[in-house]
Amino acid sequence: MVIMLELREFLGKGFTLIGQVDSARTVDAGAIVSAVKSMGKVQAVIVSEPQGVLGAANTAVVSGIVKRETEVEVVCQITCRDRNRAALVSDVLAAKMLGVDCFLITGGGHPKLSDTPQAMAVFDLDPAQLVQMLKHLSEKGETPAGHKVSGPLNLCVGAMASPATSPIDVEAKRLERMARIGLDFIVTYPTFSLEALRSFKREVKQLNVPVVVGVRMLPDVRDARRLNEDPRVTVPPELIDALERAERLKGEEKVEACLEANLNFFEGFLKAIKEEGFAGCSIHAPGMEHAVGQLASKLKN
Amino acid sequence: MIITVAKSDEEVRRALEPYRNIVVIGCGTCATICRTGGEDQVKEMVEKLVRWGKNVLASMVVESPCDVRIDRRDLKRIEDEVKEADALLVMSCGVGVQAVGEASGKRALAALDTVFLGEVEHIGCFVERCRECGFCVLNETEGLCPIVLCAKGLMNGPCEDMVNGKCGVVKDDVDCVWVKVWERMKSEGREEDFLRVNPPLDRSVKVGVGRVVW
Ligand code: SF4
Ligand code: SF4
Repeated sequence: MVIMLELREFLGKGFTLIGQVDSARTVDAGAIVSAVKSMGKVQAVIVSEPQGVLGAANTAVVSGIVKRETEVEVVCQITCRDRNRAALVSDVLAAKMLGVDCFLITGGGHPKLSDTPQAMAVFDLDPAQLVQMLKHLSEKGETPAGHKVSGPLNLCVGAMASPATSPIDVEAKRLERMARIGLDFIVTYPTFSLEALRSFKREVKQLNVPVVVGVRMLPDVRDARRLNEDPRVTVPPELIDALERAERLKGEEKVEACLEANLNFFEGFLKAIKEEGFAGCSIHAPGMEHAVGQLASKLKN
Repeated sequence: MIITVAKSDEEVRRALEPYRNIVVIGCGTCATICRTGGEDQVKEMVEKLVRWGKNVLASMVVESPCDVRIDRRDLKRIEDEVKEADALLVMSCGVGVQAVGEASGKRALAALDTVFLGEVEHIGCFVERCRECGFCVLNETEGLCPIVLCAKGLMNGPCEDMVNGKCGVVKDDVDCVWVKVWERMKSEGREEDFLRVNPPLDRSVKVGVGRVVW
């Protein structure tokens, strides 16, 4: 029997290994479940909204399916972008019915920057207000308007953070604002910079909230270049070079070489993160989820 | 100031299609400043209408066409022409168009598009400043309106689209308003104020026709 531990309980007790899988604009839950299963032994999995895609299958439902099918502790990412406060409550209750009680709050990128730029940007609540609402639901079992739902829901609530953004002090204050309401954990957007993570850690240290570092593996060199377009992300040149060399190969060989390039870089990176005293890492490897487990096992050796 | 821009000739012409006898009404307040409904623009419009074969019975700039009392008072001076008109072409914001329609009992047509509530930087440069949310938070946000200046209208920013202090959503090298709020608070040693959570807006206040009655 798998013993279900709440993320809250094992964060802060050693280094927590979390996998991350994106929902998708699909009706094939099987593919998402297989991706999670291929991760091997992770302590939890974050079911996230795919970046820049609007209308992916509802993460609350996908989280429920992943939890049922894999028995891994699931963290459901929800964004303020597409849903008003009622729809957000609705999703959280539905997720809870499906056995999910851990939520990762993010504002969500503006639809204008997505593949459906014509869509309305909802933002009825912002992340701070959503954290506040979830805390209220969690502790009192009612909506902030006083509508009774049940007894305390006992939710675990985290928020996303930008560790490499500038100015960093405003990001730290934004997190402090949420931490005062009550944050159980923070997950960072991916960065490849240990330096940025160190200064981010200094900024948020006094919040006493466990910080999980978001790690993003790169399926190929195109993906690396796309990520590099974000001014806040710098993929290390040695990793790009290795992926570029892999690109010259074909078929299985190419896939293997890409995996090798990732494992070579991230093994050291993850060990360094662990040594820095972060609470854990969340490994996102879109399209190559099996690599999550391989990377995780290197960390244990 | 209510900021207006002129509709295209084509659109005005299409709206006037069914009508021949026209009265043109301008606005002596906002639309005069915006140069969309002042004396000069009314005069130009009258010339245009004549070229389009319309019969212009009268034209006048009403001091503030958004005030029904003033419309009733001023339209009296051209009472007969208004009576005879098929339509009134109003060169003011949408409020003025409706108020003139109400005061005259005639079909009132809009010659302008109302674009926003803004500040006049200089004539020819108008910048949006308020979206009448109903709960002004300027006192909490260092006098910067987050509804207008934040691309997501967040009451507690910044967000993940902020890049180097700029708003990554609009991308036009525009500052992220929440970074500015933070910097103002910080420079005055009021960092603590940034930690306050501004409550969600009450969207119900914007449902139906807004009324202030006393
Ligand atoms: S907060 Fe902004 S939109 Fe709301 S009333 Fe004040 S200036 Fe207007
Ligand atoms: S970057 Fe700043 S101004 Fe732009 S949407 Fe985000 S919080 Fe609003």
